[in-house]
Amino acid sequence: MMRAQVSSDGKRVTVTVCGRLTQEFVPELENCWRHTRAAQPDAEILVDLQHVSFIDDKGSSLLERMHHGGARFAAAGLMTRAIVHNIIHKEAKP
Amino acid sequence: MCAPRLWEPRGAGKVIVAYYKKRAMPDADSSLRYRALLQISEALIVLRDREALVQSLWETLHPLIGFDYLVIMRYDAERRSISLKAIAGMDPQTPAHATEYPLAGSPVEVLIESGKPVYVPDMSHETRFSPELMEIYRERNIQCGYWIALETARGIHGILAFSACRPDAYTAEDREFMQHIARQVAIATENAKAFEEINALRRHIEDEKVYLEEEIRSEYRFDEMVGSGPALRGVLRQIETAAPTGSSILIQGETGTGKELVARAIHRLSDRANATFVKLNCAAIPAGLIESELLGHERGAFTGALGQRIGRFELAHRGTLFLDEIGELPLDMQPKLLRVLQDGQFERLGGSLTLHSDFRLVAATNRDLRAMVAENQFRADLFYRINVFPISLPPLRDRREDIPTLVRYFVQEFATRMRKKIESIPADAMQTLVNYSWPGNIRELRNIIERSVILTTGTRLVIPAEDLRESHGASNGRVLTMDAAERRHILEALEASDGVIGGPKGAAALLGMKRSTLQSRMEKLGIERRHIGIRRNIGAGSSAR
Repeated sequence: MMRAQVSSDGKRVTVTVCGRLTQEFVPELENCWRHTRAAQPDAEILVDLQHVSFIDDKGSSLLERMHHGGARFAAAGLMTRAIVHNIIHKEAKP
Repeated sequence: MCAPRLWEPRGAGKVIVAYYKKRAMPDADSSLRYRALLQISEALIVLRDREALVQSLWETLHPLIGFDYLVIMRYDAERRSISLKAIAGMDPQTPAHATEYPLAGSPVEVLIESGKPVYVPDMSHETRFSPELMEIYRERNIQCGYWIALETARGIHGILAFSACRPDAYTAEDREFMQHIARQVAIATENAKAFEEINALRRHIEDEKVYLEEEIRSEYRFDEMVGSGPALRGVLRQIETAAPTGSSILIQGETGTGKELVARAIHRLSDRANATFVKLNCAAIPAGLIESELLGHERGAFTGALGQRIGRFELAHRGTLFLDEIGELPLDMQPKLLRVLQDGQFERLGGSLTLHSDFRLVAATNRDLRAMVAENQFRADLFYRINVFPISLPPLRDRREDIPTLVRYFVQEFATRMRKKIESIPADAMQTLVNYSWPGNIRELRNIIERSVILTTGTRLVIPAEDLRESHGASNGRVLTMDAAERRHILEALEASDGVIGGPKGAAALLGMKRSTLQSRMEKLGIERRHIGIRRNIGAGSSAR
């Protein structure tokens, strides 16, 4: 199961993701991301992954696209943090 | 001869037919009634819904018997209540269906206590019923009524009631005819109730199945195959190729490499994903019982067969049957499995009826089945039948590139479960994990990480060194090369000296050689500090000297 909730405190929009970010749930989260970005194109968007238990390849690719779109991540757990670290540093490489 | 009686319709759209007393035309009337009984019998065979049933009764009986309301009620003996289940002829002011009424002060109470149908020819003379009920009758101008029990061998479960808006509406012949009707309606309503219960049970079982499958998935994470190295990618490609084909698949791999995980992935990616995945570990069942487990048995088929049992072949119909450790399948069971795979046919133990099952077989083994065939320990025809698409799972030592990912995955899983915050793994600890031989493969890795998380009190993972101590000596019978034996001996000495090479308590002294000689040997054999397993817990904060 996966659940995504969008909240805003005026300055920042937070997309909180819970559960498993796997292939079957990727379209749902991507849809949520697109709507959020379209609704607030200039806002800072934080994707909170602290309650994500597993990310597969498709989920990882989506996070990469979201990172391209300006998203920042909050992660917990060795695996999730390693995935986020790889995405950010892959982006940083020339 | 009685004058024909006509009545005004109550409610819009109801068909009204003039009614003539049967004395004028006795034979024609009887013929009509028996025809009506036949029509009702035919309708009752197919109708499961009380509403449809009462509507059919209305349409068939209304031309023959004068009534303005026809009601089916459910009787609850425990609660001593009745509830309206279906009504025909109702006007907009009739109470809602399924409303519960107390038994006390109702015609139904009189019926239950007397054991006989209740006929009230003129409600204005009635004194047995409650004032509330009498008020309802007055509001609807109900002046006459006949209440009959719907009774079967199990007892009274309902009431059929005919009500009219004129007094003395029913003759004795009418009432006798209504009793015939009620006997048939009783069977139909009991069937309808049983049908409802079966549907409810079926829905409940389906919900339970979905829940249990979700529980299994969440418990074992069967759809999370962790890793991205070339070895695992190769396996995933094979799974994606073979899964949709429906062919038998043989998964080969050492213990703890994830054979069941692959089998479930194959099932999930096949067109049988919505059907059941049935599993049997051939090594876990005593040889004497495995036949019964697979085929099922009839009651009394053998001592201990206390009831009929459905076997795994039947359970797996339209789904997938996963036979783990198929190399342990007894020889005498193998031809029976082969027959089921070829023809889809089998008989339960003690049964004579040939059954049919269509399932997809996924088998797994950690044994060399080809060698077993050569030694006549496994049937060649069965081997070739199941080995249509073999998938070989690499041992963990051939997937070392995936070990860091697996470690992080398991650490996160167990840390979350144990509500611990573990943020890092020391590099030397990770390297030790990568270098270990993992005879138990992923299962062993998972166990060690779980134990490590339990032992970790801070934010850096602590791995018990003794868990990763390679068993010394040729535990599997292999003879080591001189270099491998020397390498192992030097590592033991370095472990014993906590990584210290020189000095009176250093490894060189323990080995009886100069420090420079030892360093030279270490360089030649490629022994570096990171290979040293320190006697203390790995990663606890101290560093090798």
